Amino acid sequence: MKDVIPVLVTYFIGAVMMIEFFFVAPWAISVSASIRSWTPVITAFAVIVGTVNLVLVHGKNISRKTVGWYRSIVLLASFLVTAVLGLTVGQGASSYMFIFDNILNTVGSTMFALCAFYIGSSAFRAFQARNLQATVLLVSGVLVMIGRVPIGEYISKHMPNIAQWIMDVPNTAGQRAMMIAMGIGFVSQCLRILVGYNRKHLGAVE
Amino acid sequence: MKNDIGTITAAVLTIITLSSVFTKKNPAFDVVQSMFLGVAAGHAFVVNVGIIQNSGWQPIVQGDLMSLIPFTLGVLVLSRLFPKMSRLSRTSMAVIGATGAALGLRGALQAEIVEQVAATLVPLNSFNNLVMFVGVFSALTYFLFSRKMTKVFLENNVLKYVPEVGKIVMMVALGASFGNAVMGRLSLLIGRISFLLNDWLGL
Amino acid sequence: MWWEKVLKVDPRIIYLVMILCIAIPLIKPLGLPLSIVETTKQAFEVVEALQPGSKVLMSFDYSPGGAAELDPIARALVMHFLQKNLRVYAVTSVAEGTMYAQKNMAIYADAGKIYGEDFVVLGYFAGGENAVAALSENLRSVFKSDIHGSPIDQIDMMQEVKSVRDMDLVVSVNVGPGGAATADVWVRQVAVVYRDVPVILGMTAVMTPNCMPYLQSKQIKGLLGGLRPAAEYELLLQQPGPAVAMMDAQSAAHLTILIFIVLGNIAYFATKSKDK
Repeated sequence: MKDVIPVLVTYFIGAVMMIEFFFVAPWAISVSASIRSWTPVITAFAVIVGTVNLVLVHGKNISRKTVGWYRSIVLLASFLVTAVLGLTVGQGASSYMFIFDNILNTVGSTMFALCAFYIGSSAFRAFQARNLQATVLLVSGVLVMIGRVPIGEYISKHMPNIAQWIMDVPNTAGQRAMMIAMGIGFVSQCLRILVGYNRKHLGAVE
Repeated sequence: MKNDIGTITAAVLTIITLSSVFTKKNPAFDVVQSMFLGVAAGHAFVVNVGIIQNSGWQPIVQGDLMSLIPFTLGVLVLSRLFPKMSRLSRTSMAVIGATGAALGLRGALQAEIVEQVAATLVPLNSFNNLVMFVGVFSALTYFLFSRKMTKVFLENNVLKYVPEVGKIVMMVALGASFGNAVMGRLSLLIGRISFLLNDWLGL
Repeated sequence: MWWEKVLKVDPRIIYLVMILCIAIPLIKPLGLPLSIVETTKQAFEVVEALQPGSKVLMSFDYSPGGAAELDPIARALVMHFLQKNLRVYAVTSVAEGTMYAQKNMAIYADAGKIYGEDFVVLGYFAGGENAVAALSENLRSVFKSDIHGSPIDQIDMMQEVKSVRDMDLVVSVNVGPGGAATADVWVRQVAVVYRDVPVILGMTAVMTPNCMPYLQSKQIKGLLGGLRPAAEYELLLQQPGPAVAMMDAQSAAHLTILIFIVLGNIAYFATKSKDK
């Protein structure tokens, strides 16, 4: 009984959007369009909750002086400087662009770039042809990897075509099968949400 | 070599971040990581406050009373910050969740099931079409999880090889994903090293 | 045994070798030839077929994590739009995407194009798939103003646009998971709903194999996946840029990984046969 209103809202929205999709019903189109237009604003508030929660968690770390609390000071200071600058001088200001270009963009790109090192290390230790399936995976991967860069063409003029054929035909076949299977799973999950069986998206309650 | 404060800052932060793979404990990287998280959260905060201001509040001020509904639902989401009041946010989450589920269901049915099956039913008059059809069909049989269907395949001397062919097709697909993953991740590292060598040091 | 020692080598040596193999071609380019593959030509021809003044909805759905691959793609596309005199409506579903949208649309400003008449940056929309569906049927339901705060109805080039139906092309340069409106969202909510409007996707190399079925089934009309298509696109435009410059380093890096894989497998089989 505790979730009556949220579940009723879910039923209503699901029903209206299915009617809109499968039937010609101008009222359903109008109601659905309105509901869809509400979600960006609601989602924006949800993101604000996430960022404020981050601030509260790290604020607690500082007040309790937990292990690594100096990192929380750095995080909070960075958050405050960025938020104050963004809300006062605006995102187009040179000071804000400085923070975006030289901290956010730089560190974000570099952190993802660290994966390349782990790929190099894994190539050495883990990418081994232990059985038929692993061998097929390795051969296919190597052919695509070499065929999609200029050195592949230098080795053989057929390499790019081989790599492209692997991408266009067997890869597409395998990915399509996975897509259809995952699509069926996704549809069933959506149905579970719309009929109220799955309520995890409603979130935790005290 | 570029000496402006921006490039030097970016170069120092890049070197500190790259150094994290060479050392076990790296306090400089910890600080940089925290700085990044703080800036990212700050940017997300600024951008979303802008949306609430422009798309949520301004229309109400201009007389569009229907905009009160999403604004109110959004304010209710803020109750999640207070555990005793967090139940108030469930209706708002229901709106987002139900809308997403309905749109996803409609879209996935069409784009990821019906049209993908239709695209598989090609005339078997070329090698590529044959590989495509056999590949999709055999890979799909690999995903049959009901005991009855699995028995039908495994107890037949010919059909039992169909999921095996499917596994091989999926290994080729996963191999292509692996090759592209290598390409993608290396591109990111090349981008950073290119910045250090070309943009900063001017080599 | 020697091969056992090889398998146990300090990973930091591997990392240093990788850095060297990437750095050397960046300093001394090799000038390896680069051909253009069919998928890149396909995307190029979709844009090439548009008439001057055509309207393009371009979504910069990427964050710093994908910028190294996706920014060159976005830049090449914007340069092509500029060459063809197309009108660009820039949006993004990722908070950091606003900056990439502004930086890339600065190409239009630098070329003397007028903001509000030739290009507009509408900014960030929250809500992922829900918002893509909403803005596709009515842009004004999601955007009340542009990124500078100007009311949307006061912008000249917004007068003739209500929904995606009024666009001549939709492009999403997409980081995939990690972004809010992923590539499959644009297929589900735009490509299969508004079939008269072609959709091109730009994405990271990692996501490209997953999206090939959309291209093969003609749900999308073009797919640019990774740094190589960006380099090919620059060559098609006859304006080699950052992507072309990085291809030699990409070749060297791939060759290094291949050598690691071969060495690792030789060591594996050598130690396996010794154990037997």
